[in-house]
Amino acid sequence: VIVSLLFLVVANGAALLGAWAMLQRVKTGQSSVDLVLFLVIRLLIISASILLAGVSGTLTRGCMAFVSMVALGVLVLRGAHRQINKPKWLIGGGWLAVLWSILLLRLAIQVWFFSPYEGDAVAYHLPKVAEWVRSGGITREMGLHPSATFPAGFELIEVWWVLFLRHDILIEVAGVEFLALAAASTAAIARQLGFEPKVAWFAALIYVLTPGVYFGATSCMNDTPAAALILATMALFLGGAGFGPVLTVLGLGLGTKATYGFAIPGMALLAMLARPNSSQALRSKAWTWGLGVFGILVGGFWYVRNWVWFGNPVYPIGAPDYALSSVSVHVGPSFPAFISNLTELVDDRIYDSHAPLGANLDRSAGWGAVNFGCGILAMMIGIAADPRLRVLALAFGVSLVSCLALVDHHPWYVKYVLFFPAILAISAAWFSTLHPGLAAVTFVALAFAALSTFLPYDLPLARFSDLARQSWSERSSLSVPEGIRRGETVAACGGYRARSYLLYGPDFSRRVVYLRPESTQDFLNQLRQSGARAVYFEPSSTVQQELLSSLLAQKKLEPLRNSFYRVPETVESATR
Amino acid sequence: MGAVLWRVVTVPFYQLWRDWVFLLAVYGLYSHFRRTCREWPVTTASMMAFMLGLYWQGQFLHVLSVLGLNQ
Repeated sequence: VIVSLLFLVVANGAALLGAWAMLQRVKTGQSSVDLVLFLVIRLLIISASILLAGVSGTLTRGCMAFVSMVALGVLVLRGAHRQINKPKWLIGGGWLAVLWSILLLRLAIQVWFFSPYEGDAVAYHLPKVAEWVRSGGITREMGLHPSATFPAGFELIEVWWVLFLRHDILIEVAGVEFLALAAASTAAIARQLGFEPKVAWFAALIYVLTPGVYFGATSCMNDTPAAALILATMALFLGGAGFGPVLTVLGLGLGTKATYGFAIPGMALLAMLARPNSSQALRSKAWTWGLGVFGILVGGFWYVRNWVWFGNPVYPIGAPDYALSSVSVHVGPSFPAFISNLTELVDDRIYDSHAPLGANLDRSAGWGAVNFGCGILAMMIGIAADPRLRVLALAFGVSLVSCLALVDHHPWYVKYVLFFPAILAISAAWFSTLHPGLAAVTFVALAFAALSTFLPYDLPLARFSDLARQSWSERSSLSVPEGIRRGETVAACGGYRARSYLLYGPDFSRRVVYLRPESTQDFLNQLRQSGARAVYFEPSSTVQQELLSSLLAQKKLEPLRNSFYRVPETVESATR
Repeated sequence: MGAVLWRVVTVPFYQLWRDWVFLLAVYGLYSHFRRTCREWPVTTASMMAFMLGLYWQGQFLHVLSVLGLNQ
């Protein structure tokens, strides 16, 4: 463990120092914008490293540690560490620094005690992470979820945080990296509007404590990363970072989630209307454009991969089977979907009254108490009073409208517009400076936001206590039946409901073989080839349910619990 | 004024008191004419507190139940 931790520290040291060295060539001279640039470059370095290692089949702890050590050595020899300035206290100290410190401490506790739990994360995003870590490269096997082939830029960062320890105890740090980017971007946008650092970082705190944003970051979902990258794009446009760095974020955004692209109209409008005042002299043109091209290559990888493997860059969109799936998405704007999305958001979801909050935002907006109670009103006044806020609100509004027109009307669509509360947070922070009474209400609302972001609805206190009681090395939100041994191969069957990531175990010690049978005999044949005696079967369609019922009726499987089954001895010997 | 009329027409009368669009539209009208008045900050803070109350009405018990405080 100590050696693994050392590898992790060295790798992060190399990524941090590399990002710092690159920043010196592209910085704008404005600390708030340069912080966003620094975080973006670090994410680019990590993404590119994991991607290159994954494609070349060298995605192992040893290889990555070796490369990191060499990179760190070269950087130190070239004197990159001497360029590090004395860090500036960006937040401004005082009560705000105390609040941020408490928040960081709570995040650390949540990262330590949370284990991947969210349905979409463990069924859709994370099986890829487990497969890549186990096989030491990017694999064609991505799990059973119909959308598994969508871009996986966020998963690259998750791999970074599990690879060196070969354990997922720190996997949520990947989301926290994007939460930091979201905070820095919100603060940078506020600074560009002319607000003091204290107001800007208060706005960032309000945004980070937006329940949908916060839970998205601690649940291994990629919606908060997509929102953070939208805000980073806006911050870089406003800060005059130039098109090169913006292209970097564009690449990372499109490589994280296609919904990033749905917000482009507002970002483009902001680029046209914003009048940045940064100095061009500080930057190297070759480096800024080089970064941009690099970002596009990293983000575009997934579309090229899908084109090469499946003949369709946005596969599975357009595939006949996918269109029938209950998790399918449509392509292009839809006026009826837009009306339904907007009406439901305004009339109902914004109150967050139907259900407790979580990362998936079922039947909720997840914008939280401060944005609803203070932010909307503050934005209304701000738009009337401040032309700069008016321009920003227009850009955010256009992005909101384009996103709502491009996403389906389903129970979780608001998670695709999690960037929007940032303007409400900025407005609320500014408004709280106008009068002590306004500040008092904002702080009461913020206290409630902090309370409501302790635990998501799908990890209530009882389940959280179960996780906290487990040792860190065994911590998992899946209770495996006693009959399933550690390290045993498990055959997984089902669809979008199959929580297959959890089958690998927190240390990826279990091999998982995915079965995609069309009949009972087909199932038995695939099972025989897999060599597995333990089966996890979570039907997600009527056909799969009928197949499972048939297998149970014919006594081909013996039920255990939690969707686990054991292959009886008789069946095992017959299929040999 | 348009937003006020829109909500009066589309939202049942007995629900207008808790319709955030209607409330903010009315407040917006007030703020437009009385922005420089001495009582504006207090009225505005009261409005924000009322909005916060509306939010709590829907979410407060949910939060307590997730935290195990409202079994």
